[in-house]
Parts: sequence; structure tokens; C-alpha cells
Amino acid sequence: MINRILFPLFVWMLAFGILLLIILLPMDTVFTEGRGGSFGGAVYDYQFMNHWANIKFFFSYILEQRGLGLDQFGNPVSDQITSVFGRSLKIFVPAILIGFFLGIAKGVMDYRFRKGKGRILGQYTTAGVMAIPDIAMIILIQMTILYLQAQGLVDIDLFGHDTIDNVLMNILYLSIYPVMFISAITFKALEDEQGMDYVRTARSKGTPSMKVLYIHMLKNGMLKIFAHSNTMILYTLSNLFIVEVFTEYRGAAFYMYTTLGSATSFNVGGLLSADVISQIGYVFLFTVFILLANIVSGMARSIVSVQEEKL
Amino acid sequence: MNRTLWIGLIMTGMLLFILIFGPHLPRVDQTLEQNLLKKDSGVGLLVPPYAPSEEFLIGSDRKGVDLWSKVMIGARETFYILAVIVGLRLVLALLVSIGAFYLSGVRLLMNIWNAVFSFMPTIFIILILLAVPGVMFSDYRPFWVMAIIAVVEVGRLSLIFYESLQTQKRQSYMEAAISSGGRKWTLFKGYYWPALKREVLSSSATEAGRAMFLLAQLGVIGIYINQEFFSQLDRSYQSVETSNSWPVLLSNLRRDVYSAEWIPLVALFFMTFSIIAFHLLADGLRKRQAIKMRRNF
Repeated sequence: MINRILFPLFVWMLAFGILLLIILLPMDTVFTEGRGGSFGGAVYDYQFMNHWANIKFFFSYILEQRGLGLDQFGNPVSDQITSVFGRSLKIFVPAILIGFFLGIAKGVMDYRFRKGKGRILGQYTTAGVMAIPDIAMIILIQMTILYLQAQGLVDIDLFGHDTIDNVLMNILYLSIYPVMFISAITFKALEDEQGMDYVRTARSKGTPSMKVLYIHMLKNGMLKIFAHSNTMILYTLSNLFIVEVFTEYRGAAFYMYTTLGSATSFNVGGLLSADVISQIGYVFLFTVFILLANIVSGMARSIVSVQEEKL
Repeated sequence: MNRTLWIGLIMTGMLLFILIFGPHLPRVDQTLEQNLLKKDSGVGLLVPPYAPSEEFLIGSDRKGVDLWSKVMIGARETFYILAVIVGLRLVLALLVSIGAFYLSGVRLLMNIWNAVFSFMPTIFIILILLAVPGVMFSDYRPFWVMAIIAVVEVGRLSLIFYESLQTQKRQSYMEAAISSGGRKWTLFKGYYWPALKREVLSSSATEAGRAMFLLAQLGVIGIYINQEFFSQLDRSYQSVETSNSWPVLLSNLRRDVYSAEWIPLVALFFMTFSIIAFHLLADGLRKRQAIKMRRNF
């Protein structure tokens, strides 16, 4: 059991270390300017000594400041990061929870109606929605709302972060994938339990099939579902970037994208991503969050394997 | 009858048709002419984007280029990008998984690789890697972007291949093959490779779907395979996408949702269509294998 905590911790350190190395890459880029200051080209010149100096500087800075230090306005960087991260959690955590509960409910429904016409609304819808890029779903939802707004029926704020509308809409966008993912997993877990001896025994004793399904099969399948939660969280985090950047919800993913924004723009003579420190802060919080999810799902998995050994 | 496979094949066939004959289809303007101004039927002048009409079958983009032509011509580039990503990923994953199957050192590396990458959401790591100046200003940037997208998911795919090799190893007839004196190479050629080949076939369709999914997501946040930097008024440089590939149509998404909703709708329709086609193809292939295996016994 203790390994289930220590191993993820070790891997987290490795992963964070690698990310740190990439983020602290020196930005020694030689720009050549064309006529009138136009962009002529750029040559990247990697120097190991500079990379090493960056790493040393980062750690001495952290030790010296006893934290992430102050930003250009004199406010502590860590406050900014945690408040923004909290804003992200406000949409992320509900989306995950909705995904979990609604997903399991839908999975059970899909299982109950797996034969006959119910399949079209159940299994097929689940598979279909999972294949559609979530951005397509988001656009369709937004267009519907815009259409309804034009008709004067609803009034919902679609972009930004400060109203309750934004929070609710983003929870909706984010929870589509988890619901479908978990319901697919639930369906599969129930299907695996289907032929088990204990199910047959319970049925032959005259237990109503609903009771067998909800009390026995779901309970056994639950841990399998839990074991997959890690994958779901990773996907949803990826989606968080898309959703926050697209709807201008100013959470951690949005700010991380803007600090990394140099992938799409830069200034001659310098790169925009000067915010290395806060970047590292965001990476730290995100990876810690994944670490926690990892530990939880790892524990679930170890309980599952212990149970399977007993059988 | 395997209905999934048939529908998948028909849909992929349609995509293939566009790929081969796209530029020569009716109403496709191969020059991609920009209609920056257009006379209204009355007196006024119209500026692009034009809504779907007689002249523009499914509308035009913000430069007045006919979308139908753009989509048909851009298909080649889109699928070329997809093919490079999937091909690279498959080759690397095959090397890693076969290596891991025979050498414990590679297995350890594969496991560590997978564990480390399970801490990084895909988009997250792609963004971080693309911001490295060495990648950003490379003369071969398109290649690097495709390579990064391919490599980020190599670990996951090689684990799938590795597990299919392990399942093959557990088959009881493998014992017969070994005890009758099959050498390592013979075993690989006669037993492991055929099993792996089936997995590679269906996985390549799945991976194509996943890669397309990712390209759509990256398109929304403004990251494209082919981009060049152009100067802005404030002496900064903004990347400008220079290709006709489908994800680029999403570049103005937030504005288009309000004023030119046909542009994102067209782009998302074609991308979703191909993702579903690939998924159905993969599912159909898996089903076909399952039926075949059952018949064998």
C-alpha cells in the first residue's frame, strides 16, 4: 500500500524535474533583423552553461525569496497563482464530480437498456459523443444559445470569468467528456461482471435483478471505474486548456497558456515568456493535482487486485 | 455481416475520394481566388466573409476565398500531416514495444516513460515543447511540431502493442511452438508479428482519429503545423498560418461564432466526419478480428 504513494511521488518528482529542465531552457536566440526592423530570421544557440546557470539561479531565487517572490506590481506571485488556480478548480472539480456520478448513472442505464431500441440512446450515443471533438459540442451549444438570445428567450454570458453564467457554462462544457468516458467504463465493468457466478447465485435465490445490478454488480465494478479515473482527469485537464482559452475564463490554464504564448508570438530581441517563475508555479500545481488523483486511483487499483487475488 | 466495418470503409472511402479527386471536383476553384469586394445585387458592395449562396456553395472565409474549394484542396495537406504523425508514432511504438518485449532494459524505460507522461496532459506538454525557441525558429518547424505530437503519445501506443504481444505469449499453442523447437526469429515471424500486425492495423485507424481530434483542439488555441511569423504594428511578431489545412479554419473561431458561423461549422463538420470514419473503421476491424479468431477454433 505504501508503494502506491511512494512510487507516484517518485515519478512525479521525475516528471516535474523534466518539465523544469524544459522550462528553464536558455532563451539565447540570435535575431537577424531585415530592413526596417522586419523579422529576418532567428537562430537558436543552445549553451549548456547557460542552462545550468538558469537552473542555479532558479533554485537560489526560490531559497532567497522563500517562495516565488513578487511580480512587477509588488504582489506575491504565489497569491496570484493560487487564486487563479482556485478559479480553475471551481469549474474543474464540479465537472469531474458530475462526470463521475452522471457517468455512472448513464453507464447503468446503458447497461439496463443494452438490448433493443434503448441501445441507440445508450451505447451508441456514448460512443458517438466521445468521437466528436468537444470543441464541436461547445460551438454547437454556443450557437444554440446565441440563436435563443437573438430570439430573446435567454440571456447568458458566454465569455469571461466573473459571472455565475461563465462558471456554469464552463462546467457544462468540461463535463461532457467525463460523463461519456465514465459511462463507457461503467458499461464495460458491468458487462465483465455479467457472467460471474455470484450474479447467477444471487439471481437463482430470487433476488430481484435491479437489486443484483445496483447492490452487487455496481459495487464490484466501482473500483474498476475508480481505477480509470486517472485517465479521465488527464483528458479533462487537456480540455481545460481548450475551454479556458476559448471562453477567456481566466483560470490557471488560461494564464499558463498566455505565459507560454511565445509559441504564437514574440518580440524582436526578446521572447514574451519572461514569466518563467509563474509558469513553474502553474506546472507545479497542475502536476501536484495529477499526483493526488494518481494516488487515489492507484489505491483503488490495489484494492481491486487484492480482491481479484482472493477469488 | 460487419456493419460497423462497412460504414467505416465507406466513410473512409469518401475521404480518400476527396483526397485524390478533390481539386478536380466541380465548383472547385483551384486558384483559390480572393474576392475582397463583391457587388451586391442592388447598389451596395459586400465584403467577405460571404454567407453560403449561389456563388459560394458553403460560404467563403474572411478573405473571400470559396470554402468549398479551400476544404477540397486543403484535404491533401490535412491528411498528409495526419499520415506523418500516425506513421511516425506507429514506427516508434513498434520499435519500443518489440524492444520492451525482448529486453528488460527497454521495458523499464517504457514503463518510466509512460509513468512520467501520465503526469502531463497532452496539450500541456505540447505547448511547453513548442515554446522552446530551438523548436520555434527551426527551419524544419513543421516537422518538429508533427514529431512532438507523434512522440508525446508513443508510450501509450507502445504499451498497447506490448500487451498484445504478451497476450499472444500466453496462448497455450505458443508452448507447442516453443517445445517443437521454434527459434526466436521463427516464433516472431510466425506468431508474434501476425498478432502485432492485426493490432497495428486497427490502431492506426484509432490513432488517426485521435490525431485529428488533437489537431482540432490545437487549432482552437492557435497552434498550427505550418506557420510563419509576420510583423505587427508594435514591432512584435505574430504567427500567421499559411496553409489550407482544415484546422486553420478554426483560427478566428471566437469572432466567427458571432458573425460567420459557417466557417467553423464547415471545418468541424469535415474534421468530425473523418474522426468518426476512423473510429468506425477501427471498431469494424477489431470486430472482424474477433469474429475471425472465433472461427479459427
